[in-house]
Amino acid sequence: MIIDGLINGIALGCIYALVALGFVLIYKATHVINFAQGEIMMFCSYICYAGSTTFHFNFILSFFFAVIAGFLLGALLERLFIRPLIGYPILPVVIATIGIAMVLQSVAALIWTFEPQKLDPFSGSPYQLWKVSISPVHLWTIIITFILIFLFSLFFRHSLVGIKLRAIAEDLIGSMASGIPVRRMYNFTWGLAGAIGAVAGILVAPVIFIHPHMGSIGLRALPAAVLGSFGSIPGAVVGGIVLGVSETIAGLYLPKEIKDVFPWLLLFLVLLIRPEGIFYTYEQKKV
Amino acid sequence: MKKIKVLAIVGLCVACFLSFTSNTIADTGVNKKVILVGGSLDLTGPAAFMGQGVKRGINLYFNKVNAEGGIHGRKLKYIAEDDGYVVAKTVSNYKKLTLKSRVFCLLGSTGSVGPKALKPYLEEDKIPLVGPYGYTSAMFRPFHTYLFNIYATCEDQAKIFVDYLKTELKLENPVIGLLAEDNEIGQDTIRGAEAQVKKVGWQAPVVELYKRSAIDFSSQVLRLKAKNVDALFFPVISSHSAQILKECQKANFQPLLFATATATDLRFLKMAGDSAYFGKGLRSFATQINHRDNSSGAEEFRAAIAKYDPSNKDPNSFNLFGYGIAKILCEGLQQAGADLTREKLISALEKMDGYETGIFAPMTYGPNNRQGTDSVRILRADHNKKDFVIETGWLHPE
Repeated sequence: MIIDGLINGIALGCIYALVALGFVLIYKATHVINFAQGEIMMFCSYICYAGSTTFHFNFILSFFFAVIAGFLLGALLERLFIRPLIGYPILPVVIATIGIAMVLQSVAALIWTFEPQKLDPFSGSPYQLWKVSISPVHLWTIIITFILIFLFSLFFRHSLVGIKLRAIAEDLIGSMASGIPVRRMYNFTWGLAGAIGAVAGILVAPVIFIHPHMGSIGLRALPAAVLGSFGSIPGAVVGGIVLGVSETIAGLYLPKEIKDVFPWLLLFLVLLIRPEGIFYTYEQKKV
Repeated sequence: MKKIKVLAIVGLCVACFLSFTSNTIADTGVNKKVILVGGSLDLTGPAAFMGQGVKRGINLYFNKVNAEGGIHGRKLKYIAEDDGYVVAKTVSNYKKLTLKSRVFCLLGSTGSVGPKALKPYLEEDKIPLVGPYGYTSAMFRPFHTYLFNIYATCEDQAKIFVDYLKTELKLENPVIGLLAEDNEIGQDTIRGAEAQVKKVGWQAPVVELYKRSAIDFSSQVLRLKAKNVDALFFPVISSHSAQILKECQKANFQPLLFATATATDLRFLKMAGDSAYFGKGLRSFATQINHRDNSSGAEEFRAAIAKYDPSNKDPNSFNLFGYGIAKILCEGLQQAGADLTREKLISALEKMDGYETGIFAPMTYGPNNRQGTDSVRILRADHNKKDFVIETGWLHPE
């Protein structure tokens, strides 16, 4: 039972990790917590659904259609609603993201109604590995998440755009002084977060179905970002997996009343011991 | 000449006034031509697909009755206000419906929380609400004069679940599992199952509860599997039912599976996919007929859609629910007579004894009975037909 629980927890944690990654990317670059991340995820899973059902694309095409749409949606939201607020205190920007979340929810309901829709590209019987069964959706969720994380780490370490984004996160003024187009990079970051939200939405859709309120998973993933120091990409991944596994294992072995609050208890515990999160690294400055 | 002009103007004013007052809705929402019926439904919130469906079904039946001459010559008009599944809005909608629109009575709801919040208001204003959508005994316990329920509760369903295992499937002291939300419905389910297993001398059920916000049911399913549950009943919303079935398939957990009425239509089967036919398959407790079957009620419903709502190409169980509750109300209005008052409607409904809607189990109310029915019938998900087939007639708890 524990191995089954562990696999379920890792798969759930991968979803949390992808959503948390969206939070982290935007926060790292712009210091804004995007409360619309869950709704971007929801909207993009609807786009994938529309690709499959309305336009009759095959799943791979619908998947990339949704990811590109997620990128464009993220970039568009930044350009229309966030960029005009640059320079203002952080609170109006955060409120704006909450407003975006509500608008996306209403637009989705208007187009696709509130009825849950099915998007299940990984259907089929579970695979049996020794005494452990793993469903195709969990297997693909874990595989796709790890591939994505690997590609992200390559992107941030070796690509020019990735290096520019890291530079902005490290030193905004210095980046501007050295000619990095900061606004364009902000826009790109929102696009990237939208794209990764799309992947998370498509992976979670077979488990919880698509409906306008599925974006609430974004708030559940928030502790993952906090656990991982809210600015660290590996931290978001580890935080997500720790959260998913702890939630599932707590559900198996602790009283049922504890299951839902256990991730939060864990978060409090971590914050008490390490308020800056697990993956926070202190900068050393020469004086 | 001047006199005649003045007289003409005065006459015209009187005529206008009389015509206006004769068409004005009285306090009770009834005049010679119209009966106003109101409802607070979720039309834009998380249960909007239910609310929209119920509204469409009610309007379908009202259109049918109106086309056939109305009730004692009066046409029916349904005014639905959107509560977005928020109780506070249900209460404000109630105020709007009763004070501004001045409806005669209320019909339908989305869920049981709203009607429960309205109980003191209905009591105070003496306004009946017919056909709230809910499976909890809290709707009529303690007795409430103005709430006329339609469905068997989850307590009844849990009892029928145990009875069915014993009498039809001939199981002896199986391990029974219950997986439900941690709310009144969950408590009703536990109460019903515990009472019935005690009665038949079986071991206590294994219970797993979860919060509405849950997105993952794997740990509950794995715990039930570890306790070797033989038969599992999960009276939960349709998307959660589908998720639970998928989890059972994933964990290779194959008990006898029983869902509730939320899991009885084609959309649900589409959501659940192969998992609905996995292992020993799925049975569901149906509180109403299947609108695709050959019963007279289903045929009547389909004929009404074809004639009065032809744009509805994909009717669903919520349309049928709305149609059914509207039929019960109309029967009450008809029996209440031409001189219609709320008291007369209540009295007429109380005289309903085994009224056959063709949609629900026979409805019975009385001076001390507001439940309507405690019956369900069992449907089975059929892999070949990719639909539910009827397994039993209407069953009562023993």
